Amino acid sequence: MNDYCYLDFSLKLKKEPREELAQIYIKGAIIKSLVAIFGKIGGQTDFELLTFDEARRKGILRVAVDFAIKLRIALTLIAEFQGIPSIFQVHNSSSQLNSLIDTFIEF
Amino acid sequence: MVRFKNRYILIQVKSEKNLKLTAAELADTLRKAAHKHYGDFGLASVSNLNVKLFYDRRKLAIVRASHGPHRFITSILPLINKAGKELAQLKILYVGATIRQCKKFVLNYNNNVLRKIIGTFNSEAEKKEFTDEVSNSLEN
Repeated sequence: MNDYCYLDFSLKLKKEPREELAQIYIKGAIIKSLVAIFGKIGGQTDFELLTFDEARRKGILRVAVDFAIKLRIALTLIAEFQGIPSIFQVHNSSSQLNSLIDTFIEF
Repeated sequence: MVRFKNRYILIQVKSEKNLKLTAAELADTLRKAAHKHYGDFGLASVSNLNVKLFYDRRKLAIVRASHGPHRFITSILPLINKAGKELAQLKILYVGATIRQCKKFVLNYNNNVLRKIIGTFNSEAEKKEFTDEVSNSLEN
C-alpha cells in the first residue's frame, strides 16, 4: 500500500509577480495557510513540493494520506501570494504518481 | 433524532498570587488558546464553549464544550500559562457528560482534600480546631 497522496496543482495569479516564483516561496505560502487555518498544533503537516514548473506555474505535492484533506483545505483557502490575489487550483489527486501524467504533462 | 452532546470539563485554576478572575475572562483565555494552537478551525469548533460555573473561592470552573471539539480544549489546557492577566496553571480534574456528575466529583474531591489535611495534624485539638473552622466557613 502507498501511504502518500500526490496532488497536481497550478498557481493562478491576477498579475505578474515582481520576483521569481521559487519553490521555497510556494511551500512557504502553503505552510502559512496551514498555520492560519489549523494553528500551531494542527498545522504541523509534513508535505513535500516534488516539482514546480515556473513557466507553466504547475507543481506536484506529496503528502501523507492522513493529512491530504488538511492540505487540500489549506490550498483552497489561499487567497493571495506575495501580496497578489491568487488561487491554487488542484487538477488531480492520486495515490500513484503515474496517474498524474494526464493533467501534469502537456503533449 | 440524534441528540446534541456536550461535555463538561472541571478545571482548577492554580496561581501563586491572589488571582482575580471572572468567568468571561476564563472563556476568553480558552478561546484565545484554541485559536493559537488550532487556528481558525479550532476557534470555530469551540464556538459553543461556555463557562457554566465558576467557584471563585476554590478557583474551580465548569466549562461546557461540544462533544468532539472538547478534545481541543482538554489538549491545550496544560499549555496555558496565563489566565486573565496573571500567571496561572490550569489543571483538568474531571471530564463528565453532565454538570451533576461534575458536582458529584467536586464533593468527593473536596472530601479527599480535607481528609488529607486532617491526616497531617498530630494532636486531636488541632484536628478539632480545623474541622470547626471548616464548618464555620461553610455556615457563612
